[in-house]
Amino acid sequence: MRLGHVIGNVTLSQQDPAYRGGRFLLVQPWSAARFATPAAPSGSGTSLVVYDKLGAGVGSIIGYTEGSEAAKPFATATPVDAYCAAIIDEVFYQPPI
Amino acid sequence: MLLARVIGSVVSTKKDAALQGRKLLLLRPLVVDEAKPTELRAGTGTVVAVDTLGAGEGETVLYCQGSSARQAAGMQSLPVDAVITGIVDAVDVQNRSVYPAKK
Amino acid sequence: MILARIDGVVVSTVCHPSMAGCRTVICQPLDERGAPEGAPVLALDAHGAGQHQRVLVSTDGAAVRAHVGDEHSPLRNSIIAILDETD
Repeated sequence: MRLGHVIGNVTLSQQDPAYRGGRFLLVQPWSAARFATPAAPSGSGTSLVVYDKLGAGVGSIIGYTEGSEAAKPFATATPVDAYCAAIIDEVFYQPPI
Repeated sequence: MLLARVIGSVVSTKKDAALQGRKLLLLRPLVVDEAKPTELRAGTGTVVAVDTLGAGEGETVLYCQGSSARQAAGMQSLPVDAVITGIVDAVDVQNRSVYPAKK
Repeated sequence: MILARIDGVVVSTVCHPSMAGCRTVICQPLDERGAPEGAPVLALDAHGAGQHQRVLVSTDGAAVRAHVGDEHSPLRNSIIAILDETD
């Protein structure tokens, strides 16, 4: 899982039938710099679309899985390669000095 | 999944039998710049993806990569790793519309 | 498997059911000299790794799915070993 910041939403006019009921978040992954300084930009050129069922919104910090594991939560075959697994309440980050 | 713009198509006559009748489109990924979050800009790389939804050149689409791509409807037995799974209607960033582009 | 250092934890109340009650730690991948390499990732910790301890992270989802007992878990990274301290 990676941490990411929800920066937007994507709406589809046509979609794979298995997508029914899900939402699509535009997410900016946290870079190493973003972990170190909360004010730092999360990086650029790395935004991705994450499938969400938990109800995350713009401003949420989420934990998302990528790859084949992202398709595991579905009972039927669903083409998802990025899945929102957790809405993060708090991040306690403290690297050694 | 990633957003992408359809920038062209690929035509092939001699191909894996499972690909017969499949439409192949050329995609350029689209990303949001945090420094300038008001627009989508072209990312790096060009990808060829199978299309089942009827996307056309110039349209913005959502595509799925890797083994998850074969989870798309009718793709289970195809030797593909990128499939267009949605045609994008709208994108907003920080609650402001960035697609379709304002006239 | 990757070598990583525990640099923190995250707390989540709204999450996939397979994660509920599990400790989720922030792992900083390390290179062969022990220097940070790339952005931190999250991993499930079933071994009680301490802050700044060095660990092995498995990125194979099958191990986590077996551990949480949920074939439909989206989890992928888990701590599989805590390295011995070698000063």
